[in-house]
Amino acid sequence: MVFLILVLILLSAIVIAGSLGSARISFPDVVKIIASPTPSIDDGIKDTSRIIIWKIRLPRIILTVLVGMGLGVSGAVFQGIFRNPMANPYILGVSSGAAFGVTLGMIMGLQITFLGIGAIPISAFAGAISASVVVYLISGGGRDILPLLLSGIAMGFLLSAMISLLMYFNRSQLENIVYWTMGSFNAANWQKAAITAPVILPGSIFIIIFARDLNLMVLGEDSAKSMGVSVKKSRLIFLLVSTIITASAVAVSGVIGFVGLIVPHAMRIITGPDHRTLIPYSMLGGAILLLIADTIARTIIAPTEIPVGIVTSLLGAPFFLFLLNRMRNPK
Amino acid sequence: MRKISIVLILLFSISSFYAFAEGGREVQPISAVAKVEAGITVIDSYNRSVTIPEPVLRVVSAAPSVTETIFALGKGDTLVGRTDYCDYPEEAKSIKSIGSLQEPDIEAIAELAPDIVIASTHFKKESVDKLTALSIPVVVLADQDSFEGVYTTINKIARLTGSEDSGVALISSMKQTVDSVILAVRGKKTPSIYYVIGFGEYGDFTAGGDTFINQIIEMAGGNNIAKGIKGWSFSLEKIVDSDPDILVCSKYWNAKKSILAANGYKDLRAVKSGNLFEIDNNMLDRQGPRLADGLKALAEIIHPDAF
Repeated sequence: MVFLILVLILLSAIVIAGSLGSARISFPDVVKIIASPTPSIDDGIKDTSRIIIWKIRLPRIILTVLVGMGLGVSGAVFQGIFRNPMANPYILGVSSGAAFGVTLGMIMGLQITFLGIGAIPISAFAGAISASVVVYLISGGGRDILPLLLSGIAMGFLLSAMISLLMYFNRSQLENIVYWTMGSFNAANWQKAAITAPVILPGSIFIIIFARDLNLMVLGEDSAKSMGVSVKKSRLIFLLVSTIITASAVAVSGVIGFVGLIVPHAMRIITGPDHRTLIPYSMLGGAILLLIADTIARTIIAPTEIPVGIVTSLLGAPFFLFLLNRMRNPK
Repeated sequence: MRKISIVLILLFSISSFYAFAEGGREVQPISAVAKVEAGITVIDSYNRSVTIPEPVLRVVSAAPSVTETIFALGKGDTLVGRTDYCDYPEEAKSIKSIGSLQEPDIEAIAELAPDIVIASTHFKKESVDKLTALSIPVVVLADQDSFEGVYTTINKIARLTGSEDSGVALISSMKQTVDSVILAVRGKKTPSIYYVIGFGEYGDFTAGGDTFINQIIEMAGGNNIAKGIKGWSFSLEKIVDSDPDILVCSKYWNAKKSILAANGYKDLRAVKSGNLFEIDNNMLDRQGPRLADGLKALAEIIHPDAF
């Protein structure tokens, strides 16, 4: 039904995105290249086109879809757990933790590689996870929602201040850090896709399977408890899985805002509040939105690339006003 | 009672305004005397006519290009202050630092009691005003993005430091180098080249058609694949699609090693066939005495057979 339509939209978006880019490659050529990964003699296709499709565009599209899925899912989870329409995957410190990790790593000149992933994604992931763990601990172990939220905000402020301090004393790195925080897929490659897929996909499926518990938690802690949900434990598991998904997303693409915030709201208009449908729809919605945003980001003023985080913010603000309007004038 | 409090508060705020306003009034600088003065007069990039009394014995440089020029003119011993980024020649490193180009430590400069501060492009007007208010002469010589501009700047610095002869000699030697390069590459086929400024996680950046580096690439007998864009931002797809013959990157920051391992870059024909070359980009980025050497280094990479 609508789900299948969304799947079709995603697939078409992938195909269209594959044929667009700052390098002009005709659609028939794109199809030929994808159909036969190894070059055969006399197929009239340039080696460079092959490299562009297989090493640059395709991994970028796949990574964008994965990250979009992850952000959509974790956005829906966070909004459910906090029962707050303003909740997004970054409120517990993932984004500021990642940015801090990257800043630190950059200034220390970290040169580590792990499974083909460089220092930046590694330091981002480490920073994101560390910040989230600290937030969780200082809020009293997630017993109540409000302390969690407040700790997340406090951590965000603290880390922002420390990042500013580090940037002030390392002016030469300032542009690089700011660029990274805006979020971009320009450095996408197969290794990044390979390392995020086993985190985002199983994690999302796990959340879908246990979505019923999320429904009950939205009703309120007491109701949920009386229905047999171990609230504290469930909350911890949902937050843990979502945080790891978000951290890996941010590690490979920077801080991309609005996707985790808008997509669940948009999908809720179609599915209603039942998380058993909302989560899968948010997965698809996030993938589609981010793919469109990234395609715009890399083609609209090609060959100059706009960081995709800027495009999502530009799309997000008007959508939010639309939502606000809808809330104030329900049809 | 209420009314009296309000009046008192108003009086208080008005008087505190005057108290602090007095403190900010400018002390008349000694040099603003309306007679004809002896000294060196130079017009700087803010179109200010600045007159420095001779002799100039203590100089603070607020840019690496200025530091290099002063040493190249043989006046390194007059330098009492330099920025954190002034690392050439070696002797510059032992001179006291006054901070960065954009946020120089005004107090540190004042402490050094210089006869003049010579600055370049990134020096803010605020800093100029602050130093002028302290009666410290400042001359701002912004980059001109041309060889002629560099010669003019070297000339002015030579006059300010009383080393006109060295200035003439330096400029003449630079012109010779430039002419010999242009001659050597004339008529040769121009290979396509991609000049790597940034790559990877922080974006792909190069020198677009409206940049000085693009000019230098063309003078060195190369065809910049990015000459069609304005500015610095490029895309990986476009680089691979343009299939450049040569790649040039900085010799610092482990750039070459990282490019050899970077997605997309490592599959470039130029990289695979060993045509990724390093250059000391400071020679090109700093519009100073090494600019001609930078041009020559680039030309030697592009046309090794011509030298």
